[in-house]
Amino acid sequence: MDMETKPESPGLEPQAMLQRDRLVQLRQRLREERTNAVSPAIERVLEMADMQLFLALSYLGYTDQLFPEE
Amino acid sequence: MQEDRYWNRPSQTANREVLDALHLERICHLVGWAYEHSPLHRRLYDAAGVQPGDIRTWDDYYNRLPFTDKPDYLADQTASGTFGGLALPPESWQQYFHTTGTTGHFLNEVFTQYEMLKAGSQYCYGLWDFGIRPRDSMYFCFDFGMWIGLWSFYWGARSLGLTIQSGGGVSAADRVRQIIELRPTIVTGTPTYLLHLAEVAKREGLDVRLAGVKMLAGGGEAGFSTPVTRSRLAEEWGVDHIYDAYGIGEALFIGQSCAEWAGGVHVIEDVCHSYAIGLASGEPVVGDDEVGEHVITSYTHFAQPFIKYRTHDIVRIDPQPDHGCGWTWKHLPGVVLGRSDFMVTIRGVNIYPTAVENLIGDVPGLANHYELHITRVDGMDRMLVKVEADDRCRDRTETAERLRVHLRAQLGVNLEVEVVESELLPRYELKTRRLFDHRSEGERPTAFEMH
Repeated sequence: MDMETKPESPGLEPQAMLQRDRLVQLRQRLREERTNAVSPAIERVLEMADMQLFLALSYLGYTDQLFPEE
Repeated sequence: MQEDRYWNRPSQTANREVLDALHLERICHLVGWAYEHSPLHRRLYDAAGVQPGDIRTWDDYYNRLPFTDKPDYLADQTASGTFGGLALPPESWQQYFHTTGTTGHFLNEVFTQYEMLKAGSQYCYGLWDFGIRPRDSMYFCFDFGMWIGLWSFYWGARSLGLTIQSGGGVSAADRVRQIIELRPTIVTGTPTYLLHLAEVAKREGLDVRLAGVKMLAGGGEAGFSTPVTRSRLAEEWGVDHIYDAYGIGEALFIGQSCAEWAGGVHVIEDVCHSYAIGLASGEPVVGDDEVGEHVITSYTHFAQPFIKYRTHDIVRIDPQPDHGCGWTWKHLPGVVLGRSDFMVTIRGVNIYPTAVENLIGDVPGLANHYELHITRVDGMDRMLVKVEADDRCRDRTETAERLRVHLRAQLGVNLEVEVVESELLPRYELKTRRLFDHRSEGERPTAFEMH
């Protein structure tokens, strides 16, 4: 059992980290669109899309947030 | 993308160093977040003299951060009148549940929409490994009530893109007919209930094997990882695969069997951190062969965080399994071996219900339906194993004696045995009640008394 401090966290494989970076950027775009939604219908759908995108990030070791609304 | 055996290869096959680093990042973040948003966690951490910034290493996590336990949440639930350990406001709540009340008290649970999505993802790892794909279908032997277990299976089926067939609101016999008509790839239920359906089918003159079901899946009880029950289920249903999911109501199904079944389930390390503590010491278990109480931190719960939460399930954790599946996630051989808050010690011998279940299966003429009754007579704990005969049983007294001798030889202790008529014991759609403790409150042992 690992009881040591990990000052530098090793990450997942490089391909996964690259996809994570792209998804973070995509999420930023999505959030901008959500801010500019022209109806509650679109805003809500984009909110759900954000949840799904965040789920993808959680598969890739994303820890900056724990859940989308944080 | 190319077909991949793994649902999420990057983390599912990552090495232990990478996985532990991700766990520690998540845990540190979660502790800070819970401290800021959950009055229960703030109280507990303040009482322990711990601030979020103090938790930076595994040593901090194991040795400084206090445990949380169901009574903490129940007390908070009673005080608040809603949910224990709440960290998100009502506008975030999407659905209510409660635990099955195995320990005598219902714990109310609330989920956000994201948590339901995340919880659904937990099932995909195992199902995908067995070759289940969106073309497949899942039949639910389940009235959609307040128990979250099979609801979360439903979310899992949605996550994977399966066709969902609901068996809600109909009788067992009608479920059998629907299954034969709909021919689902997977039938979902508790192991005991699925055996019950096979019995009902026979009584109705139907053959569930004709449905062509490929897999039985579910959880809530030990049976799916108990060899004798697995064999019986496979035989009765004619299925190729049995898929087990281990969980607790508070953290959902956090363990899943892989296609290379090795007698247990893998911890889904994308959704929780899992370790075991010594039953006497409360310290982290180090040896792979040592059993301990399972302690988890969930990454699917933010409305009600569960951090370093004592499950009271007794497990053995293999931190580096190697049985051919390629998953690097921890493995729990035998899944749940017992309960630390439900010690059954007969004349100095710890008895695990799953061990009794396996031994019952060794004796011809006995069905899988059994109950364990514990009493205290003249200061001594006694256990009565009450088990149903099946259609191969010619003499119930003789069969009872054979089981008694077998239990004595294997467990090293004499248990009382009674073989009752077929279908005399009650059937349950959800978790089957196996243990009946007739001892008074004062006679029952508490956790950490286990030898």
